[in-house]
Amino acid sequence: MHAPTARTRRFLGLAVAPIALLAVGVLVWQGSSAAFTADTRNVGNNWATGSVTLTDDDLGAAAFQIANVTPGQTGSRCIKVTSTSSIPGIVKLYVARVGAQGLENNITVSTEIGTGGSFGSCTGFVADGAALPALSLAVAGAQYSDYSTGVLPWTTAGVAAGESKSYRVTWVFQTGGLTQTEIDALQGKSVSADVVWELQTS
Amino acid sequence: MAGWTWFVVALCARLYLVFVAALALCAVLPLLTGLTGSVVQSGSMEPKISAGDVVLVRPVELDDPLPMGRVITFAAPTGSAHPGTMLHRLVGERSDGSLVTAGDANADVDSTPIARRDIIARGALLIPWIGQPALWIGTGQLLPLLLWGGVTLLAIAVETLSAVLERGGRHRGLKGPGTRGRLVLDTRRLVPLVASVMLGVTLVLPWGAGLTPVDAAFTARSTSVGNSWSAAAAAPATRLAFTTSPSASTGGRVFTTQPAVTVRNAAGGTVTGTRTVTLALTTAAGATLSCGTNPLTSTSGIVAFSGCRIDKVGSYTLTATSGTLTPAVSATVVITAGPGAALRFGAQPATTAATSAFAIQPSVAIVDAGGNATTSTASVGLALTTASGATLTCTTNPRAAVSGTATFAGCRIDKPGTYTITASSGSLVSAISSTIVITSAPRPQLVCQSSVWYATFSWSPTPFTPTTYHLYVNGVQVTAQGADGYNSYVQLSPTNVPVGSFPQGTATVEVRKVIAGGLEETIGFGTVVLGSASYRTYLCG
Repeated sequence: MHAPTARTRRFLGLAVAPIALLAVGVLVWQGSSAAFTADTRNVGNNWATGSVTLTDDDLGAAAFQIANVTPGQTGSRCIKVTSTSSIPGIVKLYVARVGAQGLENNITVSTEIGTGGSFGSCTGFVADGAALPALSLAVAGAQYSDYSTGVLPWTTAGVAAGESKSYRVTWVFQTGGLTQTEIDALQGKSVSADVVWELQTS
Repeated sequence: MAGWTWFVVALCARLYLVFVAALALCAVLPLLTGLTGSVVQSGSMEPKISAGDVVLVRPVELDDPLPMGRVITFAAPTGSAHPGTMLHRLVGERSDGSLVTAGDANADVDSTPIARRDIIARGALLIPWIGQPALWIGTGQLLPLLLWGGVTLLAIAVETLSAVLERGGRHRGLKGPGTRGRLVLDTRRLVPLVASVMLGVTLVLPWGAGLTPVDAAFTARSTSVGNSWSAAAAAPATRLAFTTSPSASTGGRVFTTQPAVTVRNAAGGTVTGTRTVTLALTTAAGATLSCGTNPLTSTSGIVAFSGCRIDKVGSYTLTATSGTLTPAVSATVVITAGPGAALRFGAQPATTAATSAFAIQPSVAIVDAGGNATTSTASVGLALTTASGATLTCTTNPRAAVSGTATFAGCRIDKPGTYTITASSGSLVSAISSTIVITSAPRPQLVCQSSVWYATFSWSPTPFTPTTYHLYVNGVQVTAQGADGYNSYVQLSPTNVPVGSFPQGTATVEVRKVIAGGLEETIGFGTVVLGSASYRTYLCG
């Protein structure tokens, strides 16, 4: 095979520009119509592309499912949250879905952030110093309801292999300042809440 | 062969340069129509929109229809990890009118909803990759930037060289330069120039064209779900239970450990609520239980008694009752005699004449706080509660107790009246006797011997020392005839009781002894019957 003829060179040389322009046009057109047409979201349908995950070690179990609590009763639990992300970000904690069934003002929850400990045991937990003072679930749910209002910010460095923090949550059945009649009225009442850790990349 | 290789390389370089230039033009030209552009900074809108793409957006006015399901830019909510402008899809509207957004690549929707007025614009045109150099500059990724810059410069160099070679070849060729050839030559000379300009445009695109960064932040969430607390249900109370039984004590002394009773349900749980609980001795046996408050009302299902004590020595159990609840019985509590705390009269004097010793002599027991006998040997004193000029005398007063009891002897009160006696001993609670009535002492009677014409009243003892006596008849002093100083009798006769002064009838007689200071002391009384004036006799009455 010899070198391309002048005709070939001229023809291809001239054809290149329109081809590139056409390709750009198709790309922009396709990309725009795909991205910017109305789309019904199917939750998590594109999750496979995500390189960012936040997991905890509760294996889906609730940290607290306490029945027959009595005034003054208290308990605590640790939970280890792991961020897997190649991008740095900030993890915040907030309270969601407070199921107020009469005890929401009397179960107070305080939260510390630290290291060590696990869902099974708080042994080895060392607080960093930052803590959310005891608040009733009603107040916590109202004040810290989403990422914007979330608390205990934890700035993640962006370690793809994962980085962790532990949180110790302590609850108290608080009846201080209540009359006996008011305390009696709490019998059989309940409250439920989700604690959410959310990572947003920055 | 080498000719073909060079030709393909040159072709690729040209293709690349035109492609980049066209992308840059696509990103810039629409800005003239009022669109604004942004460089996507992160990848949560994958796979359709990637970091480094340029998004051209059209402003959304408040009265425009809600761009539901569309990609929008909006101000990142306060508190977001990355403040600024966000690029996410509008996926829903809440009942309160707030809007829900989500990144296509995020499993969860954004936790913070936005308001309608937060929407800045909606996506209109997506130019892939062209913002990438700017993103590399912005994020300081020098390696890919240099790599891209190198490739692009190489492409420009190849294109330039290719143009030069092409022109050289044509000069050597058979055909002279024609109109077509000139056109080709000019075009080829323009390409590197345009490419260089577009390269610069691409590099400075974000700044030159006013493109702003938009963030498509990744979000990931982990939830501790379904935490719940429930207070014990209000099971009905069924019984009482002693949670604290009283400790052993001495008679009448408050238990060191006070009894506490809890209201329980069938499961043994404490039932809060107001209940009134009564505490009593299971078997009283004469003893008495007393508490600060009894019955007492429960607090948080617990009735904590205070000040409870039992007076009598013995072994007892307490029973707590409250309406229909099953009563509770405490553990056994043993009460022993305590130290002396009070005095109590045993025998008490009865009515007695003045100055005479009581027929029943008083005895005083030393008892503990519950009234139980003690073995104290403390000294007990007796005194009139209110003297009123009278005096209580005893053989020994105060008197030491023997085995807890002080027994007195020879006690008497000198004056008639109504009295009580107070027994006292140091700090012990004193005791007051029942009322004692003291009657007057009996009047001493003179011995009368009548001889019709006179009467003689005698008494004993005979003084045998010079003593002056006064005689009063009907209260009138007359000569104490016969009582000459050593005798102990007086004689009533017409000499000292004449008819003219004393009428017929019974007259009183009193003999008094004159003692020191001119005072008189009654020796005795008597009566005499005086006869008629014509035949006056003096007969004993």
